[in-house]
Amino acid sequence: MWLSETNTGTIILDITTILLLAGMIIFTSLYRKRGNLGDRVFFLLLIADIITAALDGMNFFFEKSPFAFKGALITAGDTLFTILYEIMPFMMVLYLDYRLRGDKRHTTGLIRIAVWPCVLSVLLILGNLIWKYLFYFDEAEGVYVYAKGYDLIHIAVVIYLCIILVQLWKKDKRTMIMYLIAIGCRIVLRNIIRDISSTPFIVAVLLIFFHILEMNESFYKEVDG
Amino acid sequence: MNTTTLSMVTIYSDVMAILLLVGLMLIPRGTGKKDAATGIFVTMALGVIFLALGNTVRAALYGQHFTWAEPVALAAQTVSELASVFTVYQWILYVDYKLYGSRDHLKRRFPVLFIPIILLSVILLVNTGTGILFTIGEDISFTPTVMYYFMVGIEFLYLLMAVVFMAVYVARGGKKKFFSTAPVIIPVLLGSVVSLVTDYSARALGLAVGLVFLYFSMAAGWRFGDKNSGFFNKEYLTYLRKTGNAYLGSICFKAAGDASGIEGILKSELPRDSIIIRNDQNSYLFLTETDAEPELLFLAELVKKAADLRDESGHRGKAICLEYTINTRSADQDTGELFLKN
Repeated sequence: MWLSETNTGTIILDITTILLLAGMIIFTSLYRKRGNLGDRVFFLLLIADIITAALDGMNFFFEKSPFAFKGALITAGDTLFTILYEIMPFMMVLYLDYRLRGDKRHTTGLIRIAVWPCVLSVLLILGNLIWKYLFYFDEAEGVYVYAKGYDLIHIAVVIYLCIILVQLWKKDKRTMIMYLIAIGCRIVLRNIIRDISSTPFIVAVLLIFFHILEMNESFYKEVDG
Repeated sequence: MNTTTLSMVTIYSDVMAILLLVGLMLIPRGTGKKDAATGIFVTMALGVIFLALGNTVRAALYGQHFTWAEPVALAAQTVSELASVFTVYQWILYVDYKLYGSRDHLKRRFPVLFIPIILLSVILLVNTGTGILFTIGEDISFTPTVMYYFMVGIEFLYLLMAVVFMAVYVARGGKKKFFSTAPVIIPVLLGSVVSLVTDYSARALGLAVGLVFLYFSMAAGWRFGDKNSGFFNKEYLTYLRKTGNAYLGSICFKAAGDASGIEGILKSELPRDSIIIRNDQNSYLFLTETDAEPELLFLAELVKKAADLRDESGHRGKAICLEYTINTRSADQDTGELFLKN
């Protein structure tokens, strides 16, 4: 089998993520029926993270495979993965805004401002398909290459991360601490083991925390209130 | 094989498992109620954290050759295995308590099940000197013996025993909302199988995912379950009203007297998958997906007769004196909600 240890490790984490999120979809049915803006965004986040994990697993599965089509497949997969990587923090900003304020008008107003980093990043990623400044598959060498501009994809994510921290700092410091622990683990582990991808898993962990808080707190208040 | 990378993958998945469980334990409990089930859950989570920590220490020592590396790795692996053995035992305790809700039931049944756990623990401790279960090589590699797989088999049996408990409970007419053993057992088995057939240890991660699912069902139970009767609580009714529901008819049973007697009759006489809501101290609402009044009347009379029979037989406890009212959505043409307002 062509799979390396780190690739197998990533695939195990991705399968775990899909399993966790599939379970979440079953368990969130209790308040998904309620269908407010926050619930819908949360459900989209779950679906987006499932797709991200599946794409991540697919990329790592085919990376060192002998198949001729793997170059196109991995490029397409990683392009979609990176687009979702940009969209998910944006959705998280919207979700948290609605969860913390409960004001649909404020959240829809926020979309008009907060969507721009995401839109620019998506354009940047789509441009990469032509100019290859972020990542590409080197057909001659048969390896996947991260170009010099790769770190540009993190700019929008960092912007959204800052917005999320400001949102949580004002209203919910406990969630903020959990958020920081999860992101901190991601950064530390990424520096120790560079070849394992755990982004979908970390997002799943955050979604689990949000789900439990939703069940414990805001949903109670809404029903009781 | 790049063994250092392999160990790193194990460490990574164990750290993720710890992250999940520490996160769960940081979140306050929904209702603030502390029952034995929550206590057992916390013990299980701690067990998995120790399992993951033991695994992490051994994996981190992989390939190290300093003097204490081997004994420390052996101790870490022993702690990890002990934590695993006690966690599956706690799982059985948890399932029993969730099903029967009785500490006495736990005390009666579980000393027998504790004996194999004690034996396994003793064997694990003996293993540190004899290597009958596993050995730790000079390069801190883990080599299991046949006995080790026997021990893992016993752990699997304990995990699956929960399914038997559940089946027996359901066969006796019991019904437990927001609790199922499958969402816990499936990830645990997957993690264990991955650990057995590959060189990666995904056992802690599988257990952590199983506990997360268990926590989800606990949160749902806190939210909508009535702790005393095992029926739904009033909040569930509010939830049904808010979300819209498919229920077309209802029977509201009002009674004075022995609550446990009434609840027992409702459980035994109404269909198994009934939605029964404890509205207040002596009022129970039974929701149906039909608005056929003869059918509702038949069920209501069935319950009433069982209550009367209980009263006449001079059963221990106060008289039940059951009354009922039937409402249907079709009878209420305005909003269709009147039948939920009893």
